[in-house]
Amino acid sequence: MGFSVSGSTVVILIGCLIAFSAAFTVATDSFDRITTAQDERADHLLDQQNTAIEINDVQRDNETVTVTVTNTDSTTLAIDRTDLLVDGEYRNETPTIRTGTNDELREGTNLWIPGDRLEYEIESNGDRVKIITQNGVVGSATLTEES
Amino acid sequence: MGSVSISHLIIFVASLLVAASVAGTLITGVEQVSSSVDKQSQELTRQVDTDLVVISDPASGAIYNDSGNDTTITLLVKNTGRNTLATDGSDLDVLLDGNYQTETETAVVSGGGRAGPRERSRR
Repeated sequence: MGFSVSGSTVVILIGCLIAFSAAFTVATDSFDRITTAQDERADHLLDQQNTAIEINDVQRDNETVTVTVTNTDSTTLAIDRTDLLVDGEYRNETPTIRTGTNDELREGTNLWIPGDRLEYEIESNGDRVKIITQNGVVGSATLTEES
Repeated sequence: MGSVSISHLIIFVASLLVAASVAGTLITGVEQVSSSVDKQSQELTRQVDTDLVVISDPASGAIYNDSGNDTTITLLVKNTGRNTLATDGSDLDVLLDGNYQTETETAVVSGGGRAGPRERSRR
């Protein structure tokens, strides 16, 4: 009788061990996955809080609207992920970049460094401009000067 | 004496069988729960990674087009999360005044693969 009890106890114990190890691995993996995602979201929100842009001026010369925007906070933004709307219509114009310190043209880069200015030249009759950065921070302005 | 050890043997084998079936059921159950937990954590991660912003300019008047009988609403939506969404808009549902919209067209207006799709909803 003693053999049956200890034998079956061992079998159940081994079963419990296998089940626990499987559950434990999955639980830690899932927890890690969610924690990583939440950490990245927190980073993303921090970037968003540290992002600010300012539209310096919007000018129109006949059919050409010129917009100047400055990255006024501490996050470096990607230019190809910055969007431009003129009168609510999406525009695919590529801007030129000028440094904030000495107004030099910066070429061959996709980075919009804090302090740098983007200059868009758009063929349009519109007078309202909206600029959206990669993390959803928005700047909008209407025509400041018509020449 | 021989009959006692034979019956002991039978009880021993039977108890092992019962214990094995109990352990097997336990392992199967725990594995099913584990796989559900795993799937749920993946779904939760997707939810946390997804973020959208409506970037249409409400001041411009370009959202609602009421010229003629062809009334359309054009919404520009930007994908600001880390998750990639389907470019045909199958991941997105549009509600207009609380009504689910079935006749929607979606087009991607900017490149980069991670760009926000342009949601075009018709009513």
